[in-house]
Amino acid sequence: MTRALLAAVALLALANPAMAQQQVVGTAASVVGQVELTNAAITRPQRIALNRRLAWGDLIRTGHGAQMQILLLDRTTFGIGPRSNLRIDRYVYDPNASRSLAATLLEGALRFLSGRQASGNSADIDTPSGRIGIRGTAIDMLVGEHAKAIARDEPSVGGGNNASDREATLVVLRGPGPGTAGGLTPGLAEVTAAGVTVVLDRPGMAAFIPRNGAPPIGPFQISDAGLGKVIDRVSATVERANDGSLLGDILPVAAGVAAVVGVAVLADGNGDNGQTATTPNDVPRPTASNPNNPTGGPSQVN
Amino acid sequence: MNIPYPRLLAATAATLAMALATLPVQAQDTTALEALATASQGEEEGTALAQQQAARGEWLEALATLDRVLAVNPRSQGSRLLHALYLCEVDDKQGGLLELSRLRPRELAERRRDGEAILANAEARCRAAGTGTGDAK
Repeated sequence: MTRALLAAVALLALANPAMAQQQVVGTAASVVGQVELTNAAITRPQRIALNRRLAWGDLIRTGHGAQMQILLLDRTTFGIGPRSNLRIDRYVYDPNASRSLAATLLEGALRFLSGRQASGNSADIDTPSGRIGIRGTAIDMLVGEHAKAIARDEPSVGGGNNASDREATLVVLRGPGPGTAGGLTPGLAEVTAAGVTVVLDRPGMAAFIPRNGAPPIGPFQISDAGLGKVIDRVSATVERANDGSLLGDILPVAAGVAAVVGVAVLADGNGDNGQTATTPNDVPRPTASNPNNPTGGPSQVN
Repeated sequence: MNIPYPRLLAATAATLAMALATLPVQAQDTTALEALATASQGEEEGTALAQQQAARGEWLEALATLDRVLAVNPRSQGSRLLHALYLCEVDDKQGGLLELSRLRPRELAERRRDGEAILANAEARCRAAGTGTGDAK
């Protein structure tokens, strides 16, 4: 009887993928270009497709010009830029309580956007030179030569401080700020290295760790030029959007933009034929036949 | 192995309960994630999804949705404009204004002055955004 019960338990475990396989933590919600995965069981890089399920221990590597977004169960996202290397070390999520996660950005670019807010949420991202503790926030971060190059041009950093091409880490808090809409918790990031912690608590505040063993420099307000370069690294789409082939799309794009912004000037510039939206969301939904027709949109997805 | 029968029975029941509880929950969760991902592949549907999220005050999720839309549709000027405005709503005005400054009037409208007006309107909204009261949805 005992043996039979043990066998039943084993069969049950095998029948339940959640128990028999690695713990699924999220999916590949966007994949552009060559993105590969390895882990303890998959030692030869395996190409990732849209909606691929991801688990603890997965190591994601994006190729040149590639990018990916990981959507975790609590709706937190990791946006991974080109030529990046990210590992999911740990993820624990209780929909009725909180979320705890840890990841390592070995190289490249990462955009972290918090998902569902809960008081006990915690997130830590390690890099080759430090650790970033995150609370309910949006951050962009770079590891490697681009972090070094961008920081070198920031007056507050002062030439890069003998930064490492491999270990240099640049972290920028993007929000929410104290003036945020929607009652979100203002974001906060703690950048720790060599026993020193720098706190970022306003959008645009940044910290730079030159190399392993060096304390972070900052906080400092990143320049517009520096922030622009960070955005370019996190999102390869800017580069692809400016590939010189936009002109052919001007007319349909213009119609869509008018619908999104809701300004009243497209017809003749004096606003007689348009409408004025009061918030960014107070806009009609564009359709193929009439961009300003608010009907006929897709069904709601939560 | 000599496990008392009642304890083994209890362990089996617990395992069964856990299996039955976790399987559907996880299946539902991943199915929901897949729906979000799929809805973000198209410019129109993805932008609409972001607007729905923003209307619920889920500004960071809306930004993430637009990031997905732009990854697949990098020439979507409407999504790019909305992304900039949502950054402003979460009080990242530096980032929002920077993204707005990268949009070109001639790519926003057929006539340059119309594009310039769109950008001027958006910039004004950005500077006024983020009341902190949660009523700017």
